[in-house]
Amino acid sequence: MGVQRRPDFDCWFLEFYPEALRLATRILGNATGGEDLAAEAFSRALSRWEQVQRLEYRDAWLLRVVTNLAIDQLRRNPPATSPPYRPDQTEQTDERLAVLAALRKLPRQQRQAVVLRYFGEFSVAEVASVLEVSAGTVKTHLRRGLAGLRADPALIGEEGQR
Amino acid sequence: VRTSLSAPGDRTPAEVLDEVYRRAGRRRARRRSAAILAATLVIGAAVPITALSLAAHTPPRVVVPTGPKVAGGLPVWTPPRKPARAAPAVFVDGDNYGGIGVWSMKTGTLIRTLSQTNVGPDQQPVLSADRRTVYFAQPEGDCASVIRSVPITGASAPVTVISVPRMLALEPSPSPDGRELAWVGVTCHGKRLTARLYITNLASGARTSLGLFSGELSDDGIAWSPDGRQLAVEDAKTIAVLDLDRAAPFNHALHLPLGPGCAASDPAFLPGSGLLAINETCLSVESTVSSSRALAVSSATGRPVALIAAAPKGASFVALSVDRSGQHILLGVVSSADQGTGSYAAEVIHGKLVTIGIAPSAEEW
Repeated sequence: MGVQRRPDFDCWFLEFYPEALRLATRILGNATGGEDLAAEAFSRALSRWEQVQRLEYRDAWLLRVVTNLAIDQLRRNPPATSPPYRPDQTEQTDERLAVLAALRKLPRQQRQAVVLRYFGEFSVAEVASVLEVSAGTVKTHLRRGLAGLRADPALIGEEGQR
Repeated sequence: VRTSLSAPGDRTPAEVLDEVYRRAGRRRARRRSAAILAATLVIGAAVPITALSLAAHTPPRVVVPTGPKVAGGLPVWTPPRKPARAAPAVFVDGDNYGGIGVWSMKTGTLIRTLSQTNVGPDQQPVLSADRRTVYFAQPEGDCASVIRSVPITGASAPVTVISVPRMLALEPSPSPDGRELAWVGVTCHGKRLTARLYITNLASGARTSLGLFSGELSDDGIAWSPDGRQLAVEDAKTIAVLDLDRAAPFNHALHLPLGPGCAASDPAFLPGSGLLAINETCLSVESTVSSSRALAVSSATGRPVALIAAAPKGASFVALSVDRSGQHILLGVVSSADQGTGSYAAEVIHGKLVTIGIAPSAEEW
């Protein structure tokens, strides 16, 4: 059962896909997974295109979907420490897993802000645009989010072992 | 469909785009199955059913109450009563197989297919005022589409009536006398789309630009007045009316009292009343539909004068068509709950939605 091809959706996809892919790849840490995740986000947009196309900030909406899907995916399928064994990579992966575990405990907007800022490498202004809040609010989310991460026992333990 | 965009993964953006459509199709199929089951359960609880079929092509006729007679200070719209005219027997829509189809109002089923898809499904079908010709948009690749016409009888193959290189020709809307076609031409350049509203003389091919178009490029963005002297078009979040009698078409946006997050779309003139029928859709902060209503508004001011129908919870109106008598209104309804879509056609009868059948969401009389 197909979905009607929508030229306006296609144009939006072709112009915005690279940015969604970039964000997904940065959060997941691999391009192939990023591609799959970006496709999933766009397919959700297409499934409700009649509504999404009317959104004033639909680009931001899509990036939020990408962010949330990426967080969910990392929670379900954490990146494996795959052979060949590389100590640096293993250490980075462990650290990443610990951060992700701690992120799950943060409120949603703090989690989104931290992921976009530090995993997606977005500027504060860009995060503000994606979350549709002011830069000041983003800074507040980041400050509280980072404070929450610093206070997380798992991360304290990670640091303590080094 | 190939593009020059580079991607760090294994697939090109065009291949990912195909995957996006496949996933959306699977999601839609799941949603549709769930919608049929849900409708069956509701009907079973509400009314005695003598014969009920679960098959998608033989949906039951369902009456969905749309609320009290007076909603938000607005009376419920009542059609002009005399002389009473029967509703059109058929409507046009997608055929669920990528082409354009003719559907029965009585049974809600596809009667015949009028076109075969090209590179992407045909879309935005609309009937001429004499109900003999169907116009539709047919994709032709990256940011290109043509407008074609075909007899509603299917007696001959579709022919191209609008084709401009590297332009999306969308939203065909034939004038009441059948001599002109209003449409939207979209050019894709860089990160922006530029959409212009055009009128083409179908005999000479002469094209006139009426300026930029800021509607949503979905179905039903343009409507002719019955006398052919005005166009109602989607204009950002509201509706604008263009007076075509003037040397330079005069455009005035209606001052619809839209709330935050609300937009008006799908204008259609209600003949002999000085009113427009529109759909008003409001989104919540979470970008889900919080309310969707069909309203009758003044074509001069935009002031709402009556509630035509309110969409059931979790659904929204995405298409609106008025027959020539102004007595019958056809709505395309999409269930927007969760991430999926289930769409159906419904007629407004005495302020209530009467389901005609499960169909794509571009219904037109």
